Amino acid sequence: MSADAAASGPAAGLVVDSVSFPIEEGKLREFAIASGADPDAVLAAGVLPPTFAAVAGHWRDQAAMVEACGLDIRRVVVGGSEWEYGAPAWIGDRLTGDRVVTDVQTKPSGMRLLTLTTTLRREPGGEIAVTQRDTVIELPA
Amino acid sequence: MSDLDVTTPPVTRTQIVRFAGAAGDFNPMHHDEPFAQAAGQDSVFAMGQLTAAILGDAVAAWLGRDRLAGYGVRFKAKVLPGDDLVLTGAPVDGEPGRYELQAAKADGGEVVLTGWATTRA
Repeated sequence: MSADAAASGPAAGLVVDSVSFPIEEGKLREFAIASGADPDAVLAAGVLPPTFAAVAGHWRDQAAMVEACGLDIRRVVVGGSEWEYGAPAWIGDRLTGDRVVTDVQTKPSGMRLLTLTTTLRREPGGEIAVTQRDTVIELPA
Repeated sequence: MSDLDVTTPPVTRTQIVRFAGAAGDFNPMHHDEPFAQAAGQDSVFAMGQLTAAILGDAVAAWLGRDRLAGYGVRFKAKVLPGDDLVLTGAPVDGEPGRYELQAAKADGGEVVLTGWATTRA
């Protein structure tokens, strides 16, 4: 973390980290069962579960993200997440993308709201498969 | 199409641990009881992403897995082991292809998550 980030907080445009992970049948089945879903129905549908991009968490260091953004981990909570679906991606494809700070708001209370956007492209092909936006909240000190 | 109205089985510690493995979230607050209690919690609690995934699957099954264009959630309250969730969804008036969603505790009705979904035209 730079001294500037610590002093003034993160700025929109900061690339926090990059991720690249394979879509695997075993992981998909595990994710479906953990979500209370019928794994056979999910596999038969041939469409990724709506929040499957969350498995990118396996491949990223969340504590390092908090530090890179200049946030105090003791005061950080996640406010929400949203996903936008593009090109279909499935078992055998790889999802690759950067996680970028796309919005920063500081409230009069000192609370900070960051939007982190991860645009995951399908390989092969390069089309956007899913865009995930997470709202990270740093509560006032 | 009728509205979404599903009650889930209780969320269990085993399910939380299963989701930790599936999604790669090993924050001890969600699986280590002594750690969670030392941090002032009554017990471990579910990740918001677990509740988002439970609702997400119900919504995908309801609206059609290949028709979903977008899905979003806001986390409102903690889900504890033993909580059954009531998942509801309904079309938004005047906005074709947009749906309002909610997950609430079956016991007491506390809203744990609000959300939305959109479908392709």
